[in-house]
Amino acid sequence: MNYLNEERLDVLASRYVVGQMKGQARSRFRTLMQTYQKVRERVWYWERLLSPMNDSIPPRQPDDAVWAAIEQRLWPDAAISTTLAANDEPSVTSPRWQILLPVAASLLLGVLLIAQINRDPAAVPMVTEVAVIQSDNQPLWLVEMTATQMTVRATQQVEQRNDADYELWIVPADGTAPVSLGLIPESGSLTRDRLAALDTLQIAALAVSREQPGGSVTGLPGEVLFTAQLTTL
Amino acid sequence: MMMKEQQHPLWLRASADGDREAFGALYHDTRSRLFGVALMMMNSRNLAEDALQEAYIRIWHNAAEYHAERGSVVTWMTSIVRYRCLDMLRAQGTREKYVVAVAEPADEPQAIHTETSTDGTETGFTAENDSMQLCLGELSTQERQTISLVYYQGLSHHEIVAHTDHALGSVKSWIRRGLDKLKRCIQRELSE
Repeated sequence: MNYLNEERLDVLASRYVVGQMKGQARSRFRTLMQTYQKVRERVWYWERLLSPMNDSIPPRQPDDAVWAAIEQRLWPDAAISTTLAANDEPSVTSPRWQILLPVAASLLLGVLLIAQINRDPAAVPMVTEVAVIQSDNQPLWLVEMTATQMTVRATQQVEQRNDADYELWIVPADGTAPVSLGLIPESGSLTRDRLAALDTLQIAALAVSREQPGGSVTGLPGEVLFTAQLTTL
Repeated sequence: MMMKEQQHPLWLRASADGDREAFGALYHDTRSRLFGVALMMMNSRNLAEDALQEAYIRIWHNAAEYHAERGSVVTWMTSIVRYRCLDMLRAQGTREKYVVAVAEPADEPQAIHTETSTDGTETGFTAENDSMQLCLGELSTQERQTISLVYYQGLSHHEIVAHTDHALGSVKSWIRRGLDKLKRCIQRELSE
């Protein structure tokens, strides 16, 4: 099929912008956008054409916490010290982490299981799943899921990159396209709402990819660096 | 005094150069409009705020990629929010409930919300908006309704079929024909 036929391209671009494409078709079209300027321009045309529809949507005020979360993710150096002090969480440079860093992932998982058992269930949301993303037996990120939230903690082993971001993905067991769980921090920790996809998909693994700053623009992972199993506690 | 809308490209360019204050100004001037879009699509305040957060992270990192061919800064930013919402909706597979209240302008022109947002920015009142409202009025009820369900609420074809009891082929056809009509009508209106 010639996707660059004018009429065909117009139909595909309009479907993409309106939101009619999904799954593999959406991924394939994003690849075409990356490859062909003509495809991008046709998408921009439809975005401009339909944008007045957005003007009829009443504005709504988001919670102030959204901006605080954006600041913390973009500029953790400025925001993380006050956040950690306020939350009284352990610093990534604390002795406990220095001890844990060289420990293999299996041992860390064991520590987590014990910690989970010892937690006061009334005080702390119950962790339901956990994954340790590692490289050469060195833990890089710890992923903890509760019923409502996902927390990703970076260790000091994570390579700091100015030219790239790390993005976390669900790899579905049915072979369909990976689903993004968002960017993950190079240092400190990040907590966000649990995505419903975690409950609706059969998960084969979690994966971390290297992406351009800001994350994947194609909806698919770039270079996959690490994978890990998600363990149900 | 410069209208805030005119400052958006300046703030965005400054953001691309790493100016945090400019990005903060852009956020606070656009957040309500973008959150309105996210909330309508996600039908959940938590999910909408998650989508909004992700979108602004991408806007910061990709600020240098904006150019006039993408439309206004708000058009570009809104597209980023919409695509993030669509990704989240498709990842969920199914949604817990549909929002059934779709504006139905069969007997009267669809209302244009011209309220002033809490940020002090006005919405609506543009020539393009007038043309869009006029052109939406030229669509059949089914065309208008199905396009609204897809565009405003991110429903898939199958969700629309389940929601409206119409045949899949009819739903696809109404959307296709409706978009065609919209395109031709808006081109005609803006060229006059």
